This record gives sequence, structure tokens and C-alpha cells, in this order.
Amino acid sequence: MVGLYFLVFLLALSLTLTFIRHFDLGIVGGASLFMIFLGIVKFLYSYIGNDFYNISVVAGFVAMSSSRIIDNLIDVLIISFMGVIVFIKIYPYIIGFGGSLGLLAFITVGIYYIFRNIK
Amino acid sequence: MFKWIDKSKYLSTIIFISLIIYLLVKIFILSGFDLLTGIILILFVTSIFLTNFKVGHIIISYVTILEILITVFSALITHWFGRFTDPILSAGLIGFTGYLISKLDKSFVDIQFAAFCGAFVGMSKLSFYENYFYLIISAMISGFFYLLMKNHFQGFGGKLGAIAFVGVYIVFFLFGG
Repeated sequence: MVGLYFLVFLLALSLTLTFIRHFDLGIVGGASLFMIFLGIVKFLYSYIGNDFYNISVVAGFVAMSSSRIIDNLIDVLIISFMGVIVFIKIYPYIIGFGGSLGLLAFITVGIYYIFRNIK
Repeated sequence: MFKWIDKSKYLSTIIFISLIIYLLVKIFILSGFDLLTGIILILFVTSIFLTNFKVGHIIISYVTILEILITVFSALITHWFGRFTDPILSAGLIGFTGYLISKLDKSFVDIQFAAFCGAFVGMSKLSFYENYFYLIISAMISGFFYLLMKNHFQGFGGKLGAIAFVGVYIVFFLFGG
């Protein structure tokens, strides 16, 4: 299951980064467009578990980070793995609260930022 | 008419006044504020609209108040729209609308962030948000935190969501527990 979460996270992160950086939509434009896309997918494939959609939203928020945090493929891979771990460990305690998925993204990015800047 | 308003700010002024009227109607209907409280609130908002003053490092002007009101407004719309459709789609639509509005004028750039932050507040599934009053309070707290954190943690993904979470959790802690 962790492997599947990782793949979903990686896909969602890559897609949102494409919206934000290659289509030049800005962080809000790109992330919200991804959420619209995800909402439509959820409407069409409602039988897929909610966790897959939630983890995709977390990935979408992580993608809102600047290029000084997520710069290359290695960053994307590491942050995806960390995002999955943070989601599995923390999300059950804050389920239902508005902004909980954003908080998970913020924690992931924060940990990765510290990890990246350790000399 | 309205010579005291800068011509380039007509649209933002109209949005600002519309939001105040909407918010006041909501507060009056839902929590039964008396007339005196309403008058004080209107005078307070009007004074902010006419003058700029500074609290800490935040300059309180009608732009900052506009951002808080947009946070509240987008939270309400997202929550209401989320009843008919999925909260993710609802928040996405509100965020994208904020993005499109921010493209209209350079002075509207920060509106998209406030709108997106409010949309996260509106994604809550908590049952006490059936009373919109608590949702408004959550969104207002999140709006204030957004102003405080605006120039901090720049480039950190999830900052707006974390701010929304703080607002929601404070209200849950105070009223919901």
C-alpha cells in the first residue's frame, strides 16, 4: 500500500509541478487547477478510496513550494517518500479538519527543508 | 460622486462594500447581534476604510480587511458548494476563481492567496459548521493568521493549509470539543 501511495503522490506532485512551472499558472492557479482535475476524477471514479485523493491533494500542496526547495528529480522522489510517511502517521489524528492536508504538506516541506540544509 | 475614492480602486471598493454587506447580513441573521453592536461594527469598518493605521508590523487598511473578508467569503462559498459536490472540487474552483481575479489588476495579486486559504477552511467536514457562525469565526482567525504569516515561510508549500488548520482548530478547541 505504501508503494501505491508513493506512486500516486509522485504522479500528483509531477502533474501539479507541470501546471505551476511549465504552464506558468502560478502556485494558486496550478494547484487549484489540479484540484479541479482531481475533483472531476473523483466524481467519475468514486469507488476509489478517499485516501488516494487526499494524498494527491497533499502532493498538490507540496508542489506549491518554490524551486529553492523542490528543484530536481531527486528532490521530488525524496519529498514524495516523506510525504507518504507523514500522511500515514499523522492524517488519522486530524481527519476532517479544514486545512489538515495543507498542514501535512507544510510538515513534509518543513522536514525536507531542514533535512536538505543540514551541513 | 465618491471623489475620495481613487478611480483605479473602484472595483476593489465595490467588492469590499459588497462583502461587508454580505457579512453583516450573515452575522445578524445567524447570531442575533443587536442594533448597537451592528452600528459599532459599521463605524469600525468605515473608519478602517477611510484611514490606514498600523498594528505591529501589519498595516491595517481596507486592503488587509478585504483579504480577511475574502478569506471568510471563500470559506462560506466553498463550504456551501461542498454540500452539492466534492470539497476538493469546490476548493479548486474557488482557488481558480481567486487566481483569475488576481489577473485583473496588479493590486489584486494577494487576493488569490486569501481566497485559497479561505477555501481550505471551507473544506472542513466538522458537524458544528452547520452553523455558519463558527465557520465565519474560523475563517476570520485564519485571515488574521494569514496576514501575520504573509511575509514568513515564503516558498513553503502547504503554508496556506496550515494557516487554515490553525483557525479551524482554535474554533474547534473553543466551541466544538
